[in-house]
Amino acid sequence: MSLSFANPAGFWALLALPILLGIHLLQRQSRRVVTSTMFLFDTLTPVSVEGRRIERLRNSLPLWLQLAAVVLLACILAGPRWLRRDSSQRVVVVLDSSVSMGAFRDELARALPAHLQTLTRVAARTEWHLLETDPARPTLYAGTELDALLAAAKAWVPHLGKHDFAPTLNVARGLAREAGVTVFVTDRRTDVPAGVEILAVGHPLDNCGWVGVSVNGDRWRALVQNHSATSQTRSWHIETESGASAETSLTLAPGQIRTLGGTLPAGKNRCELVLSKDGFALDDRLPLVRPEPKRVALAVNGDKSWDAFFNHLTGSLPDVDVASGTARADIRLEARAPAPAANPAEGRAIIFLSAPNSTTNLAGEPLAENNPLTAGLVWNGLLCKQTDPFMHQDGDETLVWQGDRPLIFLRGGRAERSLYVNFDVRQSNADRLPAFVVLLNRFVESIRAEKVSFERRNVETNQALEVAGDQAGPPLGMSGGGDASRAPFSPGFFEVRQGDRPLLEGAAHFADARESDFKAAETFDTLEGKSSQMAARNSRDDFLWPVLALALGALFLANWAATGRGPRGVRGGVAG
Amino acid sequence: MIRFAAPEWALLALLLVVVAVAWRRLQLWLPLRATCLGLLVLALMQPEIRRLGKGLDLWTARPRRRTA
Repeated sequence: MSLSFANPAGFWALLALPILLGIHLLQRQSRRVVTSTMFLFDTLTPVSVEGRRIERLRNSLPLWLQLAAVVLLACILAGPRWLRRDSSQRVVVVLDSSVSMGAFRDELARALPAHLQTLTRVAARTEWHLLETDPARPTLYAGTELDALLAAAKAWVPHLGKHDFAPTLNVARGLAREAGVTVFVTDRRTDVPAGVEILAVGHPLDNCGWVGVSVNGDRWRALVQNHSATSQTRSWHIETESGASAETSLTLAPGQIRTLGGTLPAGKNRCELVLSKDGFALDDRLPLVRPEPKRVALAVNGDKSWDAFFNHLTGSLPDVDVASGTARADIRLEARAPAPAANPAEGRAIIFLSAPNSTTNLAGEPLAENNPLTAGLVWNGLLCKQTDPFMHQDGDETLVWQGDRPLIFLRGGRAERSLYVNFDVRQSNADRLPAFVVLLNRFVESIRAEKVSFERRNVETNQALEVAGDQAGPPLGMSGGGDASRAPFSPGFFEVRQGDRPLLEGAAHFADARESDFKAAETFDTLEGKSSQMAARNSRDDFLWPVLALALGALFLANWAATGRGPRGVRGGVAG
Repeated sequence: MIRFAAPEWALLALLLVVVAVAWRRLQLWLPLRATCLGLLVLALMQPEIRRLGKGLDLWTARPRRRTA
């Protein structure tokens, strides 16, 4: 068993020693005593003749008794405890994966060893676990070596935006169990489940950064925000492979968002907007690429009565080309009579019902099925005429019903999935109904997403990427060896390839304004009480402490006996 | 709420009263001396304050077996 102290601050009581010695250095004030004779006074040496002045320290029994009492009292206040040899604890450290933690790596490197070493002293054996709040990431360290845990924490890089800590903290509490400690390392005050201690290592930063960008043709517009509570001045410029533009000064009021705009450098597909550096580097650089979306080729197949509608539709779809023939088209727009042409279309198509004029409205209210193509769309107000429909086939996936009639449905397998509009659009108000127009756009966009073709676009860091590749080809690969299903965690340029074929050239920029705001960051911890609690759990009181207390009482009594003997005031000392 | 882990040490107070009467020159009735000895007896009795924590999460799990 090793000795530890539950309350080391109790040793501050030893400061009473110099105070006590100082008091004993003072001469005691002489007192006037009225007596009838002086003959006995020759044999008595005056103890003090000059009053309260400094004199030589005299060796006396009360002095030593009082010094011993102070030392004993300090020992009792420090709370000596004996750590049990069989005591063990499990400490689970959970690191906040929010990218804002990246601004406090130095603070983390200083605070973590200091606090965890305190926990090491409260049990004979400590089992360490290091997790991060991203539940998709594996455990960073598990073992009994604190140094290894600290090394893993030093190598760790936070990568997530605002996210929910609760799932990982609940896992950590399960690991720690009742006899362990769960420490959540973050940079600000936050609500945590009961039983989780917080070690916060942040502090407010005067951060300014880019919070968003849009590029339309050659024109870019970017938002820059001052996240601090004071006015800030920064400078910004544009960097390309061949050089940088001149610095432009920028002053932002507290919380102000300003829109900056400009033209992409001629002949360059890449550039970076650079803001002068501050404590949080992730939002200081904003990489941009000149967008080049995948274009969808449309083929139109209908009689002249459909020309106006098809022209209107193709004009409303972005980044599409009208192909002259159907062979090279990604999607066909086709008008068909209800019968007998109800066979599946060859390739992707949007098939519109072409029916004779009718004067009867279709009864019932339109009702949408739960499908990504119809999510959030409102179909009230759609007016259709009662005409002969396309015949229903097994495997059709209805998107919108009106009464018992499938109004809009999908037909065909994945490679030939087509959208069937089962009412005559020309005899309805569908082309003026936002839900219908959005549905057609979503269908075209789904085909664009599945098209295997090169594109160039701007995305946010860690954004999920949907890159279509050749099913028979090699797996997709990210430049730098990362996961091709997500954009990189750090701002920068990247490329997704399938073998030698480039499929996506992108620029990832950081745009999580919540993580850029450090006004609420602070440093504090709730571990102090916990380490005392763990020490009490893993050790037992010094069994001699009542003996020490009784000895202290005996010293009191002895001191009072020594100072109380003889004529009052003659023996000197501090009587208490 | 205060409670004492070792209330038996209260008997020491009675012993000190006897000592004060038997050895009057110790002058244990002086306020500072009486306070010192009173605090000593109180420390030996180990007073404890039970504080309520911030709360706890109560999880209830119900088995989904029909026999439960």
